[in-house]
Amino acid sequence: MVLGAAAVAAQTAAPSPNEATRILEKAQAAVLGETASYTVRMTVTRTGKSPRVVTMDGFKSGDDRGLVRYTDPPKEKGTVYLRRDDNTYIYLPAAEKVARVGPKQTFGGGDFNNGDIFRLSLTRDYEATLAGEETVDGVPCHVLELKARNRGVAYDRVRYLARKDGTFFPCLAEYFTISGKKLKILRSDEIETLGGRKRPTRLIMESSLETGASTELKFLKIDDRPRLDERMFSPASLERER
Amino acid sequence: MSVLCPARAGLLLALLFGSGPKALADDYELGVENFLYRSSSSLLNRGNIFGLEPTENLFRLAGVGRKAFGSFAIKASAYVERQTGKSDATRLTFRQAFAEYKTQSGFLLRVGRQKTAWGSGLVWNPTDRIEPPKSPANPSTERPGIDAARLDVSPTDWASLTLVAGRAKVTLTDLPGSLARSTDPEWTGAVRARLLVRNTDIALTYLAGTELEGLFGVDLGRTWGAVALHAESAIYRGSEIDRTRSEDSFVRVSTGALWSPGDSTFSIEYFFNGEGMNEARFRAYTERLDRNLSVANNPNVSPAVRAASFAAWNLDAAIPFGGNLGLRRHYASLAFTRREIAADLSMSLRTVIGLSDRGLIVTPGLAYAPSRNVQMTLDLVLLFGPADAEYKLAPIKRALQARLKYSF
Repeated sequence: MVLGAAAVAAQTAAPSPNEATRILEKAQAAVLGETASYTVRMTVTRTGKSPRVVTMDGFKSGDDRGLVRYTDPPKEKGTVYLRRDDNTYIYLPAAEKVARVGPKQTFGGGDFNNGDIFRLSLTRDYEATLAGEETVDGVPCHVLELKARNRGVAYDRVRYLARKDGTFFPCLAEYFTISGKKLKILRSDEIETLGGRKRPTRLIMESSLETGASTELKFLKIDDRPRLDERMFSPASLERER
Repeated sequence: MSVLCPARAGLLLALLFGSGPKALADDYELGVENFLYRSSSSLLNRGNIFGLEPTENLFRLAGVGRKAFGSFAIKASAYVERQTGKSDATRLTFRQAFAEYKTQSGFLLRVGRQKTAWGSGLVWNPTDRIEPPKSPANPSTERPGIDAARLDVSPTDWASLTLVAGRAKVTLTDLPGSLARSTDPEWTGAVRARLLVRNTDIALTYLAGTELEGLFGVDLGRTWGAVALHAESAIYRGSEIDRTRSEDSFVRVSTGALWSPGDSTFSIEYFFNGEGMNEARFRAYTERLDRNLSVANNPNVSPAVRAASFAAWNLDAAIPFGGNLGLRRHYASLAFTRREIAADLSMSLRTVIGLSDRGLIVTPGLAYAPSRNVQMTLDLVLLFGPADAEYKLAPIKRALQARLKYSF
C-alpha cells in the first residue's frame, strides 16, 4: 500500500511555530510512548536480492535513550545498538567488542540510519513550522517543514506530514540534504491496536537514490509502560553482553 | 571452576538488586575452522629450527552454547583441534566456560574462563593486558579468555566499576607446531571505572599481578560529527619484551578513528609502543639470535656452551610469541569493510604497517552469509617487508584462515 502524496493547496495563514511543535510532539508520541519496550521486524529489500529479515527487541526511555537487540536470524542474534544522548554504540557478538559509531551510519544494513532509529526527539533536533495541508491516500494531513537546528543531525531538512483527524498519526516524511536533494521517503501505515491503543504499526523507508531499495519496520509488540532501569542504557551494560 | 548455588544466590541477589533483565534466548553454535600456513625460513627460523613442514594446518571443530535461567546463565565455547604438519596433535581448548548472574541494574558476577575484551583500541589495546592480545594480522580471530572472577556494579547510569581477579596466561592458539605456546598462569587483578561525562567515554584502569608491577590506563572515546574517535593509553613499570628492564617505566598509546558512511566502514589507528626497540636495539637483538643459534649448531663448540647458547636463543626467540604488543615502536593500521558487495557477500581489507621497519601485513577477507543460520569467512594473511622487518621474523610466509559457523 503506497501512499500517494496528492497535494491539496490548502495553505493556512500565518502558522504558529508553537502549533507546529505541538503537532510534531503528538505525531511522535503516536507510535511509541515516552517509555516503551517493543519487538520489531525489519525487512531490507534490494533489487535482485532476496529480502533480509531481522527481528529485534527494543527499549526506549524518554527522548535521549534507546537500545535495540537483534533476536533473529540466529547468525546475527546478540548484536546490540545503544543510543544515549548524542552517542551511539554497537556491540558485535562475533568480535565481542563495543564500538562507538556515528549517527549517520546505516542501521543494520537497511535504509534507516542510526539517527532515524534513535532520533528520539524531532522537536529538539528540528525547528518545525506549519506549511499547509495535503491529502495522502484520501486522508487530510498537516504539512510540517522541519529545519535542522544543528549540522549534527542526520538530515538538513524534513518535510513531515501528520494526520489532521485528531490522531496526529504520522503518514509521510521526506528527507532532504542541505542542497535540497531528496534522500529518502518514510511512509507510516497499517493502523492497528497494539499495546492497548491504535497506532501505525508499519514504517517503510524508501531510498530516493537507489531504485527498488526500501526497508520496512513492522512493530509486532509494544508496551508503553515497561519497568526499565536507566542503567541498561549505558555503554558499560553493552560490555556485559558477551 | 566454582559455580554459585543458583537457588540461594539467586534469591539473595534478587532481593538485593531487584528483578533481572528479560532473559535472552539460548544460543547454540557449531563451527569448523581451518587455518592453513605456508612456513618459511626467517631470521627466527634459520635452518628451520622450529621444525615446520612447508605446509602446516590447523583444523578445528568448534561449539558454543549459552543457556539462560532467568538472570542466571552459563556459557561454554570450545574447540577440538587437529594439527597436521610436522607435529600431528589433537587437543581440546576452552575459549570460555563460565557461569554468571546479571541484572538490568548493571550488576554482574561471572566466574570461570571468560574474556574481558575492554579498551577502545581497534587493533591494539594497551589497557587490556589481563588477557592475551588480539592478533594484529587478523583481530577478528577469537582468542581464549582467562580463568577469572569478575564483578560489575553500576551505581549510576553514567558510571560503572569492574573488578577482575584471575590467573592470566598468554596462549597463542592460532599458530602451527611449536609456535603455539602457553606461558605459566600468573595471578593478575584489575579494577576499571567506566564513566560517561559530557558525551565522552572515560575509562580508568589499574592492573597488577605477580609478574606485572602495576599498569595505569586511561581510555577516551568521543564522537566528532560522523567520526568516532578514541585514544587508549597505559603507563606501566617493567618491560614485557626485555626482562632486564624491570625497573623502567613505559608508555603505550593507541589512537584512531572510525567512520561508517552507509554500508562501508573505514578505520585508522596509530600505535606507539614505548618499550619497543629502536633500530640499534632491534639489530642487536637479531644479531644475538643469529650468533646464539650459530654457536648452538656448531659441532666444534663444547656441549655445555652449545646448550647455553641454545637456551639464550630460546629465550630471545620466545619474545615475539610472548603476548606483547609488538617489538618496535611505531605502528599504524588501516581497515576498510563493505557490506553487501554482492548478494550476501561482504568484504574487508585490513593492513598493519610497521612504521619503524616498513613491515606490512595485508589481510583481505570475504564474509558470506547464504542463509539465516550460516556464516562463512575467509581471510588471507600476507606478510611483506624487508628481511629484517619484525613481520618477516615469523617463520610464516602467508596464511589462509577459513571459518564456518552454523547458529541455531
